[in-house]
Amino acid sequence: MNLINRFFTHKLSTDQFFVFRFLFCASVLIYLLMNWFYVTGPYGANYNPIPLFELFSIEQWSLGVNKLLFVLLCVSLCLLAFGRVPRIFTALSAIFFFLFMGNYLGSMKSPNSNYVWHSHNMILYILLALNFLPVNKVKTLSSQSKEYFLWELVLLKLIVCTGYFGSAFIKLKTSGLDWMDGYTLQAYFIQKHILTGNTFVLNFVDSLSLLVAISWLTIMLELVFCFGLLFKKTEFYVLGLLFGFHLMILLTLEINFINSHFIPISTLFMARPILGAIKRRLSQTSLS
Amino acid sequence: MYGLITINCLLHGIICKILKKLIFINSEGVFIKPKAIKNMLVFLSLLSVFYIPIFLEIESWPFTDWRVFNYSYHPERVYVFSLEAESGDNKDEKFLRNINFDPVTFNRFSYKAYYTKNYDDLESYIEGVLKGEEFDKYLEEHPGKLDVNFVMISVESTRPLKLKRSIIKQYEFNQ
Repeated sequence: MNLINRFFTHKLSTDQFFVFRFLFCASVLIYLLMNWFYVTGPYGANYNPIPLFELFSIEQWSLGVNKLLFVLLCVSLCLLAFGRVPRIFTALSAIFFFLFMGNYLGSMKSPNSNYVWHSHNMILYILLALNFLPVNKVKTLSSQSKEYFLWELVLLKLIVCTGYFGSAFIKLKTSGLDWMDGYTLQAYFIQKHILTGNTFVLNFVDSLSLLVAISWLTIMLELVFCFGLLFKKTEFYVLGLLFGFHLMILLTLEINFINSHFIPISTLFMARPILGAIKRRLSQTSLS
Repeated sequence: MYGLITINCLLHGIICKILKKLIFINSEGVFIKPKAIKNMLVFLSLLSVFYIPIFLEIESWPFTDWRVFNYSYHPERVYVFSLEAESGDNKDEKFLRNINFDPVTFNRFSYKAYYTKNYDDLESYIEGVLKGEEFDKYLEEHPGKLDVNFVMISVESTRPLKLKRSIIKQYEFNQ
């Protein structure tokens, strides 16, 4: 009972949350600003609305409206980053992100499949969750307040784990242990080599035992090791492993998840050391 | 979506009942603080919103599908579709990239269309690719007879890697 009480009432410094929210919003904002194709991409290509747009009969809007939506999303994220009326701008950011990214993903979706990237879910999940967290009322960086509950941090970390865990769970459910027989990864790499001319993947294609080892490591990382993010002692080792994992995906499959979602989610873990560094710097300057 | 909301409401109800029975009437006299109960409910509700779709394989929450793709592959079943150009003895295997078209997108569309036998869709898609400004520029840069081949590339052997190209259809230009 005491453990439950402690878990749900133990408080951390809100500064850590403020820094996380600032860095998270800033990283999403910078990524969006650097990728203009999210605004214009859905126009001039095939458009197949995502299932939730179909359910609510949301049709594709004009490019002008999409540009306006992009501006609103950027402004909303910017204001949220600086803690201006956080409850309202969190809700607005979540709604604008869903509409804006939903419109873009409609242009990425095959007419024969519902498949779109999992990564965009994680950003939206975090924005949605922030709406319900008591700590999200924090407006300034104040070292005195202590209103950030431990369970809120754990919840955000568990949301990060959904993308990895879900991915491994579905691989195992649809293919069982066959996914780790090495041939699946071999087929992925060969396909990528044919499609993009990537020669880095050829280093792995020959060695089936290496491919088996990489496959097992991938599944273990996604299914089990990712939950190491929940513990202070292991979080940075797991974060390092995940960075390596995403780097390998970038080099072999040429899919860049690092900028789109790894950097935003890693702000959750980087907030504490960054805050510590800021405080140390401030105390040094005040002493001198 | 509605199913998810219903499940959440049910879970909420069940958790509330269990908590009321187990926590407040406790033989040791220990109880969970009301604030902790409120926090616990928010925690469990949000957790269920994000994790239950994975186990129920809900396809549209909010963007992703948790089911449609079959992830198990084998090199013997790798078939990649592409467009390649040929003029005289010169072969351009990077034709799609040279006309600024993403080969991954081309393969994704043509693969599905080919195997679902949507040949009309496939034909109009290829014609669309070969009507763009970039292709016109390419034609100007390659005077003389030019054949664009719609090819299926498969794996003949993996050690060493040997690929097999089968021409499915040929499109002739600059005759």
